[in-house]
Formats: sequence, C-alpha cells, structure tokens
Amino acid sequence: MNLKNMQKNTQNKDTFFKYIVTLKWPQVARNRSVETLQERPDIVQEMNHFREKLERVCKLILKKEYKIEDKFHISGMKIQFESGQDLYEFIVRQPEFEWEILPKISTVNSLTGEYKTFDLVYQPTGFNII
Amino acid sequence: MKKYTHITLVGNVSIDYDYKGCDKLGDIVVSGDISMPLNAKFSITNSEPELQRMINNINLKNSTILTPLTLYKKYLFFNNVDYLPSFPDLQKLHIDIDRCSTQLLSLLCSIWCEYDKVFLFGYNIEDLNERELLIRTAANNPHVQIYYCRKPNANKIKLFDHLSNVSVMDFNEFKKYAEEHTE
Repeated sequence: MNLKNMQKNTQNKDTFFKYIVTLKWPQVARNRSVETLQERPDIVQEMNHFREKLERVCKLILKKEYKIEDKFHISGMKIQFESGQDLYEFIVRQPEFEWEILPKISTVNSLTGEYKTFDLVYQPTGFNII
Repeated sequence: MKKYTHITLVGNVSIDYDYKGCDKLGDIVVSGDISMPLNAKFSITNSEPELQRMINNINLKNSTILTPLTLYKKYLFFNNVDYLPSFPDLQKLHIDIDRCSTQLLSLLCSIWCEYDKVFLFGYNIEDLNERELLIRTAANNPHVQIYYCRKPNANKIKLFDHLSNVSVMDFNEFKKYAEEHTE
C-alpha cells in the first residue's frame, strides 16, 4: 500500500496540532482488515485515490498546518489540524467533497496536555459539541 | 528570569499599576478581561460574554484563555481557548467552577501549575467570601508562597498572620524584590 509520503513537506517541527478528526474511508473500503486489503488491490487503489483527493483538498482549503497520519486505521484517516478555524471549514464543507468524518473531535489541551474527545452532533442549523 | 517559579496574578479589582516588573520576574495570569497591554500567559474566565470580549481583545492575543469545560465546548474552534484542569481543591472549598470568581480560578490554576511564588495584585479581599476562600486555599497548599501585594499603607493587615505561607507586600517591596530576582 502506498499511502505514505503524500503530506505537506513544509510542516514546521514546532507546530502544535491541537485538533484531531478521523475521516471515514470511502464506502467500499470501510471496515476492511489488513488481510482483506492485501487480497484486494482494487480497494487499496481506491483508498490511495481517496487520500490523494484529501491531500489536494486540504492544500486548497486549509490555511494553516495540517498532518495526515500515515498509519492505517480501520476507521479512517486521522487528520491533525493546527487551526480550529481550518477544522471548522473542513467540517462544514464535507458535503461538497462527498466525504464524512467520524462525529468526534479530539483536542489536546495546551496547558495540561490532556487528550480529550468530544462528540459532534449535527443539527439543522449547524452542529454542536457535547 | 523566574519563569515557572514566579507568577503574578491580576485579580478582579482594577488597580493603577505598571506590571512591567511582573513580566520580567515571571509569568502573568489575568482574571477576566483587561484593558491594558499585558503579556499574560493565561487569562481566565467563566463568563460567556466576557469570553467573547476576551477572544476579540488584542491585549490577550498571545494569551491562552482558560474556561470551564462547559464553556470550552462552545468555543472549541478558537485556537487560544482551552479548558481549565480539574482542581483537587474544588471539593474541599465547595465551589462551583462555573460560578466562582475568576480571581479564585486564577489562584487555583497558578497552584495547579506548581508555581512556587504567587503574587496577588488587585485581589479582592473586601468580599468576605473571597477572603475566606483565599485563606482556605492558602491553608490547603502550604508549599506555595503567596504574596498579597498592595499600595504602600501604614496600616498593617493581620488577616493572614496565622498562615506561614501568606505574606503582605507593598508595591515598593515588590519592585525591590523583582529587581533583585531579575537577571
């Protein structure tokens, strides 16, 4: 699987990525084990295309640093954001790019270093964090 | 520079004081919104309208704004807003983090961050409840040296005499201390 070496090369080493979300894989690739993926190159190719699209969109719409995790997760791709406004933009523009994040936002507290996950609840007027 | 050991706490009473010496001596924590340029490391609030003002306050641009978790969830997308840690003293003091004064939260936060010396400026002790909470907090944390700083005044304050870790210091004494302890 060639899912590596596709993230922005200009990341500053001191960047503090405060926000983390997981973007779900495309429908065909969801809940696939590593074993299954080894037998299905077509799905892997789909995942690679998905990641390429994600990389392009992030470069286009995000203003500050971001990082797409290389490690494979069955639930999707973990994306770390430096800016909360970028994350907000990413969430509200999901329908435009036809993808879906897991309805959870994790943040790292800059004072305590605590990693905490909050639920994202969509509502007709927007969304709430609970 | 005594960063990480000395912290100046700007309380809820507005005072006419130049905090330059405090900035050189260590970190600064502000209780609520401020109207003067101050290089505050933290600013603390538990009021939503105040938080909105603080987010837009240019004087707090480089400060981390700390709020209770309930408020944080509403302003999560603002980079410089974060939530307060859970203070071990809360149960002992019987206070509600969403309703108590911001100066008390600043004090608890300074203690949580393990600063050795906390200098209180503009800390409201005229309110009897606030005074009592300050005394109890100091008594619960004897390892933290607290200095109540005030304008030079011939009348002595004897409120803290029974506490070995609380001293009263006037602005001139503080200035001298800051000069001696600043490289």
